[in-house]
Amino acid sequence: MASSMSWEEAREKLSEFREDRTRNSEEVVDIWRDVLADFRYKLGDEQWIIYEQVCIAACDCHQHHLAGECIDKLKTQFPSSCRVHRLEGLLLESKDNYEGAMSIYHEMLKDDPTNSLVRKRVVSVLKEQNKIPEAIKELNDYLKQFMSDTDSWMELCDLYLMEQDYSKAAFCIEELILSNPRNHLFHQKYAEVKYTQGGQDNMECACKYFAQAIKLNPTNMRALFGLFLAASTIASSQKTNAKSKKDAIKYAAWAAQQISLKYKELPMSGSGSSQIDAVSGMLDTLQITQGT
Amino acid sequence: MADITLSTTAYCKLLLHAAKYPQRAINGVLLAEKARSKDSKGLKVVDAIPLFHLTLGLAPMMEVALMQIDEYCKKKGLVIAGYYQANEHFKDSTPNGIAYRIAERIHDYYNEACLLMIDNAKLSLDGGHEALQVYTRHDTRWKLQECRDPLEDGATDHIYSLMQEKAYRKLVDFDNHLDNTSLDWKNLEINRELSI
Repeated sequence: MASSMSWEEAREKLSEFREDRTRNSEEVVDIWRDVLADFRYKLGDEQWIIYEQVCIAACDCHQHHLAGECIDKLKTQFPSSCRVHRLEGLLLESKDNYEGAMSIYHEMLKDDPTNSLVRKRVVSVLKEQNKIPEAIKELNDYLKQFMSDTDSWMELCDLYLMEQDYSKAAFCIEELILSNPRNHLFHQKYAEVKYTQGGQDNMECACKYFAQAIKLNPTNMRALFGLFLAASTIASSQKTNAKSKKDAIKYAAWAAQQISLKYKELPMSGSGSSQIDAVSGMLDTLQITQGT
Repeated sequence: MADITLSTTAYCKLLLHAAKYPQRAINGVLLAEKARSKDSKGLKVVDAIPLFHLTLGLAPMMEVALMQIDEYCKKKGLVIAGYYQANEHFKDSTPNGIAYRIAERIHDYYNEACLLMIDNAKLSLDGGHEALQVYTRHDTRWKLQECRDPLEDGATDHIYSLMQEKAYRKLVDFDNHLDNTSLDWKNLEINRELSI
């Protein structure tokens, strides 16, 4: 409960949210309202970044009055700041005033066409209007200039997945893997897209990438399940030759064993034992299919 | 045309899932009792299992979830009888390719399966069934059912107190379970609270 926190704990919590870059808008607004607002005089220079954080959270929660208050405080302190001007655009977006927001962003881009954060807000406005193909085009244009922007490649991947354009989504993740080859999440997501595309080649590719994800992070459950499913599918496919079938059965068996071990580590209370039952049933069903 | 009833448990878990991730698309499955008496008409949904809030359109984890839920259903005399989805965009409540694909898959195993879309704009503490759009299959197409209250009596009474105590923070979906396997996607504790 936010109201039971001390102001130092509240400040720590907000700092944690900023570092982890998680979206906990409701909690941020509660923490501000219930605790920190009364102790703003203790925050020193940190108050400005907190005002920005609370403003964004307030826009997310449709608390326009609170967002407006934060912007006023920031404008008084930083009268000609682009960063604050962008927040004004964000508040207009929150009020569904897309034209007003776009005119702020276009004006800012005329002064500084390299302002990447504002360009991404333009993409967001298109997404908010459900203009997904236009958002994709805008984001593609942005990435031609800012090609090392990991977040944007991920966003573009998600936009393609919304349109069910799996091959273009896969391309985006390939870019991510090239720049971050040790990130197990990218390998896992790539494998999931390949699996979804289906077909023998894609399934074999999925198998490899799930395996790589597990190598980078042996506790990645999605990768373990994915390897089990992909290997089982290859093993039961008629297009697979005898040697590959043998290998695939080995991989599936190994993945099944790892999954069972992870579930057996759970405490054997009510939910733990029924989880194991559900997973064992699933593993057995697929192993029966392989054998036929 | 099949009559569809949604129990308090199913309705509340659906709404809690939407409340937990207001900025994301969410989906899940609906469970019904397998054994039905001869004179019972229509589909009675008794539970909802929240599935995903990250990427909805990818196959592997959906297959894992459906298989595990199927195993659970076999032990409890239940069956996967429907699918629900809330789109990411606030004003868009039409089923997309993903919704149709999964609903078709469920329909292959259960003839009276339904597809339930949540109308984000109509979600409210006292809106009741207005936020729910039920689609059923006729010939080869999914059609929106006429506006009829599918909720069991008293279903909406719990929502206010659940939202006040922010019970959605305790709800576990399949994505949460995959991130931390000690979290239970069946949400048995919430089920117990709702059946009191």
